[in-house]
Amino acid sequence: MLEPEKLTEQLETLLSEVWADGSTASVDDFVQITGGYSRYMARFAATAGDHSQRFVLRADPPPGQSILDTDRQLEWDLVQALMADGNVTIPPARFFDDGSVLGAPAIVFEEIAGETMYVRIQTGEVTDHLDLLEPLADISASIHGVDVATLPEAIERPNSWDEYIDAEAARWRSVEQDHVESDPLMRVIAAWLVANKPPPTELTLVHGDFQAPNILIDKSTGAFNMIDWELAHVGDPREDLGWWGLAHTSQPPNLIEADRDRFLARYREKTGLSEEVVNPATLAYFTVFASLGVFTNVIGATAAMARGQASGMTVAYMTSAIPSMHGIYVNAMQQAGAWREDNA
Amino acid sequence: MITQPTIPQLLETIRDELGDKVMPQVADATTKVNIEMMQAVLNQLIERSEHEIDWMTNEIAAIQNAAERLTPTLSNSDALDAAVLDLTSNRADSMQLSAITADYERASEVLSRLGEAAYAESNDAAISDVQALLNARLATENAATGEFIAVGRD
Repeated sequence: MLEPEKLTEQLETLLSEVWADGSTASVDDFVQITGGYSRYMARFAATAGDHSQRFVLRADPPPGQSILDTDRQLEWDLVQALMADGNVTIPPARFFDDGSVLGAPAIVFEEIAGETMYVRIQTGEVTDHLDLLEPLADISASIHGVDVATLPEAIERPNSWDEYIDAEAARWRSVEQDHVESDPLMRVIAAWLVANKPPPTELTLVHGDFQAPNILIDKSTGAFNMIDWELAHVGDPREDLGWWGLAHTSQPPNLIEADRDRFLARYREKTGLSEEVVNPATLAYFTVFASLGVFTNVIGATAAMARGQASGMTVAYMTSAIPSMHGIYVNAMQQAGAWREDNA
Repeated sequence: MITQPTIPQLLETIRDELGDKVMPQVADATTKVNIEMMQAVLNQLIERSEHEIDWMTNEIAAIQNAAERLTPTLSNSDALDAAVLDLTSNRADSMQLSAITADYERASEVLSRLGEAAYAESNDAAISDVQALLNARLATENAATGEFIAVGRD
């Protein structure tokens, strides 16, 4: 189990073995990063002899304190594959520990000096940042352009688009039935997703948590680095665009919504997808569709708390997020219907 | 029993003390985020402690009325009928929160099955009524939690 008070010493042990090339590594300036709700994150400086470097630690938190249950080994394998593929820019992932040294499975990344897109767009008006729309469309297109064959075998490949959509729609119903209380909206969503399927498209790599806090803008190069790959999977690429809409309702502003047509035009240009496939109605559809994974984890965490199996302020706080997500689903379902009627 | 100060007033006092007295003494960023989360949850509890039983009883009645009105318009209502029977034959005979919550759970199952039947049959009138019930439920949820803005993101 992760014990934060021991991490400095444990990191020194790990880095002495894998990084310091026979020297003894020391760790300084260890600061926890507060932005994430799922993993324990910290940045720190390491020194060995006259060599020093800054890193970021991404580890599983102590049990019961996360809203997500994901696999660090799989995330490590995926980022290694992405680094080899080179299509998407990510912070270099340097070391993996299965928990034998750090107490919990963890990845050590090189730190990228810069700021997240979320921090960048907090300054001034959102319209001051429209120049970020094209690189945003480009990085989403680059994720969806990764050759699926290069991904780790442990990442499931659905047999077909229809089978994938139907299975996910059915999962809304089964997750609801396993939940600690009834949620009629989830059951209605399951029926609505089947009744309102959009045109199909090729299944691709999906980041799964595509939002501004997960895009790190390199201060020196301006490059967009995509971070936090724990929810990545093979699915419909429009899931990432839909998820953005949900994520930025609780984390305004929504940069894409500030000039949606400009973003979509660039995205279609980069991916070759048609307007029939990528449009406001399909985005709204996938805002609902794409959120099941995170929604399942959120309600799963609150259910664990209700059953006395989990604790922690983050889990309790997530009870306030559920109505917000419900509201986004209802709005998205109405928007999809309205756009289709207007463009019939 | 002691009813004054009320539960909401006591919770408001805790929330305000956290913000006014505890927060300024805290330097650690993670702990500051935790305090903001505590305040958000306390805001939710202030609303729920005042209104929760009333909200649930009103919604149970609205769902039962809708089910009785719409059942005759559905060609296959077996699952819905069973859920309605479960609700009506097990109604709570007390105002204990746990008893009302159990009723609310059974009413929610009625609403779920009503929605599934409406979409399965493309019954526009039933879909419209289900959407109205869901909108009403959402309004209650929002009244309980207020606008959700994720704290501590960077």
